[in-house]
Amino acid sequence: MRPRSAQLDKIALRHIRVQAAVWVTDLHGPDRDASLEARVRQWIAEDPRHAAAFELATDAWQRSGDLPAPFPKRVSGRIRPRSRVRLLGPALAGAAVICGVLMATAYFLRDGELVTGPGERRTVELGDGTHIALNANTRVLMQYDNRVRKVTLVAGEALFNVAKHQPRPFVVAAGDRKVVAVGTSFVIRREAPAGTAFAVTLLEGRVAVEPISWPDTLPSRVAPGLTLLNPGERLRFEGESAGTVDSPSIDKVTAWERGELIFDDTSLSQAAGEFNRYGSTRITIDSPTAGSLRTGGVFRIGDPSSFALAMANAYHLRIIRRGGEIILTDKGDDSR
Amino acid sequence: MARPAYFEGLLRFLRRKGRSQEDAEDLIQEALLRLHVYCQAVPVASEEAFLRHAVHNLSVDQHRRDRLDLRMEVSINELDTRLIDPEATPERTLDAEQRLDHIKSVLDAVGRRTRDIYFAHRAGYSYAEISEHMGISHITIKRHIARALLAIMEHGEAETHATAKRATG
Repeated sequence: MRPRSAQLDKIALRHIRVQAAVWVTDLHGPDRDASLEARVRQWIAEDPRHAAAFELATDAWQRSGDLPAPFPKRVSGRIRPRSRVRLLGPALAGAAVICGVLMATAYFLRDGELVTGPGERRTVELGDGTHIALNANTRVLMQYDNRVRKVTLVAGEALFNVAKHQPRPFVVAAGDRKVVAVGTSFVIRREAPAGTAFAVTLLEGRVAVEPISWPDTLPSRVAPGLTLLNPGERLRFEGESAGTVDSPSIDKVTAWERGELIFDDTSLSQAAGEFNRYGSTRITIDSPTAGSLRTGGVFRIGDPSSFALAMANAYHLRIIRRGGEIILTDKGDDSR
Repeated sequence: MARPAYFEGLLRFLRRKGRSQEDAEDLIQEALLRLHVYCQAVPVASEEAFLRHAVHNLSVDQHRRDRLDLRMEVSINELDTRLIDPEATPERTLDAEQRLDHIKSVLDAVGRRTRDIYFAHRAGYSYAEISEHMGISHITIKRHIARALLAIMEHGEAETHATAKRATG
């Protein structure tokens, strides 16, 4: 049972690697100083095996951080569109669910694409610390490179919480326009893949909205075609128009991210349309007048039945369920 | 610096406790990791005493985790064969996505907490931020990061060997 010298050599080698790993960790840690650097240099010079292990550790460090493709750490949960620091809590607390969802991550990140289907919402954290929350029926293409962190919103709606302190600008392309940001958070909604209608709402920081053909940098001065947004402002485009700026309720714009739909003096048909973006259960309004009734309130995205029931009670409508459809129709209109 | 004879004693102790050779080496490695992480911050009076203490504690802790660890070993083995592309040559490097998958699975096998802390740090979170949100000390963060790096070091090497062997064989 006496350990042979080969085993002791193996432990000696592992010992050296442990030291190398700790040195490299320290060199990238908060306590790096001239004294540390001197001690590392001295340790490397002591023994060629030290130098080899140090090289191995440096290589491992680069290999695991210098990935040209962004790597996601987390899916699921919700994010708060405020500070980056706050996001860490759920990111790490979400550890328990990570294993279960990793497969899904790998699947929907294939070909650098983030995709959600009807009724699906997802939050992805990228390697640079940027979070993207995807609303239902959304497709985002990832095109990060060494120069620019670029993504294309092909369709749908996404909230971008962009990591600060990065030399590379963050660019979202949507149709014939793009949004350039540095460290900020904003929501973009694109109505149809082929259309040019889209809306950008800035939650925090500063973004520039500009024609797609411009360079991928924050413009240094004002020019025609450029819109700089202030926090709380929303810029909307319909087709070729120059765009209109308003200040919507931020709670309302980001409600989907919390699993809510907020209506405020919204027409019933518009509200039904919002529900229909998400669930497999469709709400149809079968009435010449009910569609233009105004409604308000906060509803759960995945619960169109409660919404229909509330509307039926408030406006004396009748609910008919037919398969995956909820039909709201006028009471007493039985002839149909 | 601990003498080689000292490791001999630790190995024998662990073997007597019914540990496999590989297991014993892993435990000693973890004890060494702790030693080097801690001795940067706090002067360690006797390295040998520190190691003996750490190995004893880890040995007890590991009994509790054995079931889990066994499962993890299986997944590491599966991973190795799955990740090595039979067509790969030493010249052909793994592309970014494969590298990413590989590192993710290597760290999964080490532990979820270790993996999360490592990725959080590499994604730009500072020790202070991680510390605040996980309620753990800088030393513990450093230990997780160094442990993750060590795992990546060992796995990168295993991969190169395996592909080189295939190319020549």
